Amino acid sequence: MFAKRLFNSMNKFDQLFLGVWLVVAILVAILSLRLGVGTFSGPGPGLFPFVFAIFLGTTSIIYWITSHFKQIRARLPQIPPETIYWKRPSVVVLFLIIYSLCLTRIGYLISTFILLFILFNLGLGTKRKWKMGIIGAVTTAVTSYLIFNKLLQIPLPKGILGI
Amino acid sequence: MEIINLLIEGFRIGLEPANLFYCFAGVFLGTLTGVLPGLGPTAAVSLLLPVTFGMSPVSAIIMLAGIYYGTMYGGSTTSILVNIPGETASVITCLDGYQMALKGRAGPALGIAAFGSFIAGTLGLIGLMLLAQPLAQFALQFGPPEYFCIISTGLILLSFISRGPMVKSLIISSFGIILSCIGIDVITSKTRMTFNFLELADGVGIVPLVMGLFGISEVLINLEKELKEEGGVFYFKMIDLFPTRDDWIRSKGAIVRGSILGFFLGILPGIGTVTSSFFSYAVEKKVSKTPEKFGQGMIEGVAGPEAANNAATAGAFIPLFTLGIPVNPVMALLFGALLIHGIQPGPLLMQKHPEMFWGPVSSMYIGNLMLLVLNLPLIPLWVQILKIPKRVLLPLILLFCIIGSYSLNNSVVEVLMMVLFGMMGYLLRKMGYDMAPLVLGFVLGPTFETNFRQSLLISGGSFSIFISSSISIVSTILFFMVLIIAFIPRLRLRNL
Repeated sequence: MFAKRLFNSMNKFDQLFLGVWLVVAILVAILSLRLGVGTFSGPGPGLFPFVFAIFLGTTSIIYWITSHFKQIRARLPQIPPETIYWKRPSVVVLFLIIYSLCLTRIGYLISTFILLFILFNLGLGTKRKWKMGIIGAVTTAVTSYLIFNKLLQIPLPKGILGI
Repeated sequence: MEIINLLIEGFRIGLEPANLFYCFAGVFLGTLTGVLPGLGPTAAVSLLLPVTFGMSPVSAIIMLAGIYYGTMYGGSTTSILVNIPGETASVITCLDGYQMALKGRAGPALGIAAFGSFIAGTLGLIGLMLLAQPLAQFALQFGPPEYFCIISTGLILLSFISRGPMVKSLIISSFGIILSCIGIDVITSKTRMTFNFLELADGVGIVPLVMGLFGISEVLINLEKELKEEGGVFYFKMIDLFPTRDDWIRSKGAIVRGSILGFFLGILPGIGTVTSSFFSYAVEKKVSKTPEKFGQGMIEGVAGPEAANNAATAGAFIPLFTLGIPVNPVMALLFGALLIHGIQPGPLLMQKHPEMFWGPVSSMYIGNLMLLVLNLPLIPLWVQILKIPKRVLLPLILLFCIIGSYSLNNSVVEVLMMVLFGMMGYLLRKMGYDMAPLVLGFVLGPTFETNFRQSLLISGGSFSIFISSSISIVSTILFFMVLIIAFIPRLRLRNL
């Protein structure tokens, strides 16, 4: 009952993060125990991560309690879900993940052109801007390829184009 | 005499054509990123870190250090001309700098910021030269327990000073330490928490981590807003750049005070350039005969903080070069860069690789001079750069991050990791977590663990080893003092 009241007093994101920290702490503690914590006179590879997993879990719970009793919450930036503009950041993260997965298969030039085209046009829908987006994406992808690959000799994925 | 000889040798290294070029490139790119709002020194150094991998270690540190102190110069330009701080250390410059610009005194404000930064940078470097060697000699007495105690105190102090509640900083720094445990254990050679991913055997790379936490997350935060351009740029005549005699008389005390304050505050973990500039502003207001005029265009309010943030950059190098302990995320990146180049920062650095200390130190003199000579005439260029639309700038930053993390090991896994850390950094920043304790926990984690385990092995499992010498006792007392101050509300300094 008390825990429920405490939990309800925190905002949704604090709850989410508290949950994440606790899961990480439990997971790391289990993995560390499997690795072997050893003894204090002969510390094993799991001892140090185990100590900090316990510390992470404990501080998370302390934060949970203090945020209720000391009303720390009032001094934190209050960000209700509606004020976080999820749309564009999550679209960009999604495209970056797709880009990372396709980079070696498609190659640097094509995948970077597609990514830049999307990024340059993010939130801008007019016909003129689309054309500018294509020109900008082609120019940037080719210029960056020439600078990093040809000039600075940094190997970039060749992919289907073979260059 | 020995210092003079070493400095001459340092200048010989610093004046080599290649190093002169890298120094120039560093300060130029640093000023550029300092000018651009949103891109701070950590993001700038992390973006350009992979570019330095092909260089010699000295050239790499010269360039990265140049970026760091270059951002301090550049940050003031946007604060004064547009009322938008280019980086956090220049936030306080907005108060009086922009007011001076509104009164038609943008030139003297920019001028005193540049001259003040130059003087402070030079004084800071003299302090660095004089203090580093004795401190490195002293640090040679440190063994594993002393290092463990010093790192513990450093991390707790950093958590205390960091933005937001201390407990949040402790959470995030312990997460950083846990991240540093991923990979092969150096003592037993067992793989830890790799989940059978071969790419994780070498551990999480500092480049994808920092690029994600600072570069990608910064872009994501910027993407939340409408990508419209903000404010107007204040135009002024180039002829007005030089401060008047009266400006100099009013500013000289502020510059000296700011330099001394900034240098010593810069040495402390977590304080860095931001706090030192705010502290300097508070001191100037306190010593002024007309404190009520601060915020209305007082030149002391520009000179002091700008001097303090530049001197702090020099101070921050002392713990890195002498103890091998980075005090802020930029120093953590330099620490990582030195390790990547096979050089262990610490008390033996100045003995084993004197060129690694004296080369960058002398190049900092040269870099400060370059900044002074180049920056004032280049102010119109920096103003033009402010006009680059964010919808163009942000994709370019993302592209630099991608190439930077890929080029490290030619691995897309590193790119993917960077994106994931970017997403994590974005969410953590939105929740009010400070990224500095995470990065420092991550960077110091391996040293912290090794010294902890070695101490226990030496003592046969007895924790009394951590209070067996005067250094570790003092450090442990400091550790508990910080904890007591933080958790006993009446003593909490932060709320004063």
